[in-house]
Amino acid sequence: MTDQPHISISLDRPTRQYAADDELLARFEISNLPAVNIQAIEASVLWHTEGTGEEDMSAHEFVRLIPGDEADGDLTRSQSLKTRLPRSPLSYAGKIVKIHWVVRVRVFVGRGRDLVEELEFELTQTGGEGSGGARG
Amino acid sequence: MARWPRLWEKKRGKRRTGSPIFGSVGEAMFFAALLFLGSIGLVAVVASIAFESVVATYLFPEATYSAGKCVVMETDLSEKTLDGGDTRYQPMILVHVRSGQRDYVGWTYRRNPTWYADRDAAQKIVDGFRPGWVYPCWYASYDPSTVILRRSTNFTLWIILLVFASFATIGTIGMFYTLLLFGASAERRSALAKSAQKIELIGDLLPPSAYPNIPSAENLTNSPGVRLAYRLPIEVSPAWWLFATLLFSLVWSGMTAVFALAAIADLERGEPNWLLMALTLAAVAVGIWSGYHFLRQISLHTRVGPTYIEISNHPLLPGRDYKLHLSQAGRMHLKKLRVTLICEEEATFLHGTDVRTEVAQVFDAEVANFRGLVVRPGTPFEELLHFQIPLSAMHSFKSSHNAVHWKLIVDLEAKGAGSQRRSFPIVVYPAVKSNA
Repeated sequence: MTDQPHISISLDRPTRQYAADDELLARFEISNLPAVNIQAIEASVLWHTEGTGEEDMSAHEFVRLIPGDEADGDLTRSQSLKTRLPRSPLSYAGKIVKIHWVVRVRVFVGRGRDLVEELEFELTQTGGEGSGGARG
Repeated sequence: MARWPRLWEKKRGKRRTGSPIFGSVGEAMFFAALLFLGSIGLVAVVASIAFESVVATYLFPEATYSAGKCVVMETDLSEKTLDGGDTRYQPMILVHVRSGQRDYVGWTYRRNPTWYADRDAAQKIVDGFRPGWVYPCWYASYDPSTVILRRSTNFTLWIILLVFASFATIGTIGMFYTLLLFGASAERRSALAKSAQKIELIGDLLPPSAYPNIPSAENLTNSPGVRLAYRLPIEVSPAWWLFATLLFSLVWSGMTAVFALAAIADLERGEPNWLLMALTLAAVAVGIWSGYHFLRQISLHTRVGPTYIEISNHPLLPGRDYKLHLSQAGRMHLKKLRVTLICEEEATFLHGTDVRTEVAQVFDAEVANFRGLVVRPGTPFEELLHFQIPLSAMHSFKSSHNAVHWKLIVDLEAKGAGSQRRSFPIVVYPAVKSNA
């Protein structure tokens, strides 16, 4: 299984907790995939909902990399994505509505196929504690 | 074994089925069909008029007429007397027109005879044409006897052209948009949509918010309060419910009257229609009930007067204390008056072909609870209260299919007037970082 293509994502904070207006730095790297097979990479910082309702999603930061962007065309090397996080919506774990913030990396490998990997982080009021519902 | 991709999407918990490629193809086909239909329709209508086809000459004859020049030879005012003794007048103009090698002389004005009740109005039109002068006129190139001096606006033709033009425009924009985003990931689509908002023209309409996806509090702060800063608007005014009840009562009564008149006419002719009579009796019963219901609602709402809530600040922040001024007018004995702060989650989803909305209350805190109050006309019950938004509270949130709403709820239970719930939306923002 180790020779399967793999996308690894890491954040600058091991706790993966951020507050509004904080700067987030994500690094991602693709392994076990020849550089020539990669048509493009899309990296985004986004929130999406989960729960009873239809899923809503909004990309806060989005970059698309193509082989021509790199001098040697190798997109498998470690790349980074930096963004200042917005003030809302904050991460939320409600009853029928949940809001997740993720760093998502999508690698296009041709014939309309892609590999996706994402890493969830928390966007909270203080950067230290999440708002797990509207508790009094 | 390779699985055949699903053509349409379903949501199963966290998992979504369906193929985005098929989705894009379906979208492109839909817009292509619209573009095709609009273009074909436009070309067909325009060509049909230009070539004076049988369809066009039948449906929009005047649109196919060619412009020409006519010599007015004589004018007259035609008269006719109706059965009731009234007289009608029609302008008549004798014209000479030459179409190719053919000459035609005949009386005309408009294609469809136009009769005027006012003699002076008709005479004024006739006086507008002077014998011996040349005037613009229109006629079918194959038949100069169709000559007219006034063309009517063909609204049907314009509506048909407008509909086909709309199809073609929507199809073109949709095709362009679909091709632009063909195979694009959901994130890329979202980023493109966000970029579009930055375009100056659209940006002016949608000013950027410092707090994305938090509903605007503008409508909640544009009414100043008397005791505190803002008077909150009620979510659904009782006046709308009263109006709906009145409208139903009136429409139903009108329909019942028509039934009743028809039933009575049958009865007078000695040919009673028993089915119609039974329906009329049922309609009368519903009409009486709706009238009673409306009068009862009027009675309830005049007895239980308006509720006003004013608050010291808006929008609200978690962990902060706020003042609330409650005013309840009316003429009643209140068994219970309870004020609560609630938070609701709202999720909209497709269930088959239906769009459904589920609401779950996730927070409920009592602000005040009064019992045994007597409210008299001119002296409303008033009370200054305090409430707090919990420190760990989720802020208000609104996206296309999901929402988190905060509300102040007033539950009333009046003697002889039943229970009523009045809801006042508020907007909660995230706490500022310095509070941490």
